[in-house]
Amino acid sequence: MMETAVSNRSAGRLQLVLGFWIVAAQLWYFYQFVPAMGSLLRAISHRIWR
Amino acid sequence: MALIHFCLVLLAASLFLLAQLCLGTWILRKLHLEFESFPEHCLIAACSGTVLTEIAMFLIQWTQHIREGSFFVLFLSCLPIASEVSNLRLRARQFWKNFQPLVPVERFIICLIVATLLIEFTAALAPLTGSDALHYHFTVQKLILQYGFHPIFSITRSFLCGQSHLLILLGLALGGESLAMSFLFLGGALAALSVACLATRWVPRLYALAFALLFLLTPLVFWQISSSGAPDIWMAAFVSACVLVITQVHVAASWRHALLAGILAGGAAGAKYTGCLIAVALGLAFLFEYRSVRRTSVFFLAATFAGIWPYLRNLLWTGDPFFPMLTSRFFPERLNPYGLANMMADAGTAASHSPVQLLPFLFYFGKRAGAAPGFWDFYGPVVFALAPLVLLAWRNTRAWRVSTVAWFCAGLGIFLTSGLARFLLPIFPIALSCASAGTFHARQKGWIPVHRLASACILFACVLGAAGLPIYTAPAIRAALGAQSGEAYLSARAPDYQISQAVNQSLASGSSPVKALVFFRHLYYLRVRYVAGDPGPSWQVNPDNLKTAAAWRVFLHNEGITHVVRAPDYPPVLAAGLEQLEKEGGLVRFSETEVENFTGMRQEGQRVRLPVVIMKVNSSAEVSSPAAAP
Repeated sequence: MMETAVSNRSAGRLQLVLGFWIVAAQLWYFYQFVPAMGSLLRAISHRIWR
Repeated sequence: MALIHFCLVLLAASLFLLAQLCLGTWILRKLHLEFESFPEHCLIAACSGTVLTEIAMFLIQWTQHIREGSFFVLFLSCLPIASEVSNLRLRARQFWKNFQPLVPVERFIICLIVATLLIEFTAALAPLTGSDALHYHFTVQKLILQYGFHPIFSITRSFLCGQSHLLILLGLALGGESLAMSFLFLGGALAALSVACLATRWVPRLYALAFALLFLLTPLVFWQISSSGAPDIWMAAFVSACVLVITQVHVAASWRHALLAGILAGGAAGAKYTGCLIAVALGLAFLFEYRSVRRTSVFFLAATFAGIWPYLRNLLWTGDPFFPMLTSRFFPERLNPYGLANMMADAGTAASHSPVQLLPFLFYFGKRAGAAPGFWDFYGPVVFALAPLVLLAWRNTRAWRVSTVAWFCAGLGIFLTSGLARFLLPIFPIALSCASAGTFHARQKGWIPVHRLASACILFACVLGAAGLPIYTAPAIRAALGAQSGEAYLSARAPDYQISQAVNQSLASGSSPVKALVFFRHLYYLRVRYVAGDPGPSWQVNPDNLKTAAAWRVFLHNEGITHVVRAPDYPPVLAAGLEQLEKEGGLVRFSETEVENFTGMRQEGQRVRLPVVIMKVNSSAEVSSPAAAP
């Protein structure tokens, strides 16, 4: 019973870490690429405007 | 009319795919190799058939009867249709018989995959605007078709053209630019199939389909398939097919498996210099898995036979199989430092890479520091975001071992030699299939929030890609469907197109033979004979040897150049000698036009008006000028 509770707790912690990683990785990706994407977005808006 | 063109190219591409499929099925039958899954059989057969067709095309080039030879190669590759189509039909029938009915979500994803492929195929039929395609992917093949198979030192990257470029040559010889683009599109479609085939080893069909869709909606991939005009996407199909061959052996690989896997790895090696690293990684995966030196030797012998041809060509023409990468070491007297520096900078070999960048690089998170981004940088965040799940899902099975050894060894090799993320494209299907296994692992473990987050990550990437695809391809689709004229589309979208047209109008109409020296990069639309003069991408023009007007006179005379195009200025490193030549009367003004062209990166859309001045070479001034003496 106690072992199950401990394993559930560690699984929960692992899930928390994984969830944090997935969200953080995406935020980091867009943080890194958004300035870079700026030129692409400019090009796209330029194309739509034309 | 545009619709008829669309249907005809679609039909021709489908027939070509059927021919390669039947040729590959014939090869598999001769090797007594069976693959239970019909999609895997199709992928492996189509890829092995294509590698053989490329080798045949390469050999045909040496005969110099390239157009006739292309029809002959097509005829030969179509021969197995007669014997193999019934075999294929039987397999297809068996596949449908055992096919589990699709659930609505799967049906929806398949509809999205078909729609995405259709959009990408239509965009691929627009006139060519890809920068590298206009510089060398298509230009070199067009020059070979026009003037025969010969070394083209004025386009250094012509030596980078590998076996996959022969599909472009075949397409240009058989039908034209649209057919060549449709052959490149087929590589993309097969690569998407390979994502699904690789993923199916670990995950249910729904996940495999979702990741195939994600692959097609990745900006780098849809750029490669639709408008880049680069054949690299075929490498992704070859590498995945090779991994499938290595992993599909139930007990131990026979020499036949080694042979087939080697041929497929050779297809990747022959496509690009970095393909050699990938082939070595696949060979290591084979050796690691089967621990047999004899069968690994068969693998490498087959890979050498299938992929050595462009290196042999470079060796014969220049003495350097990886021209110009080893020239400074083996033939320093032949070195053009400007050409080499340009090439190294483009390939990323000149930049130093910190070991800290390795992990993000392997998980498709690397971005070239300080450089303006392009579509080649956008793999999306999915592989990196799901990396921990991939590690948790890893099991000590053959499929995992082969996939990870191939992925990480190839990635490490590319990181150490180049460090540019775009060269990771051939192993992207492997990485995505591993990411699919990671996602499914979360569900199997009952980690519902993690699984939901991972699914949301995939969905978000798909939605972003799906939003970007129509915006990116809309102008190309309008041109492909005839809503906008090809001329207007090219004037607005193709770099250096208006300069090329100005040169064509001035020089191509005359009756006397003309050869122009040009300094712009995108040469595909030129209709006159030319020598590319920019010392960066042209090995032929070494500024160290062209510092004076006299040296230029000798160069122009030796090359038979009749006109020099200045648009708008000469390259700074060459300007002094050429301006001196102008002053001495060695170049006289022939015509001047004003055109519009891109400035900086094309994707930024900045355009400027610039003069295109064409100078006629005045050979009589050689006698009158004292500087003419060598």
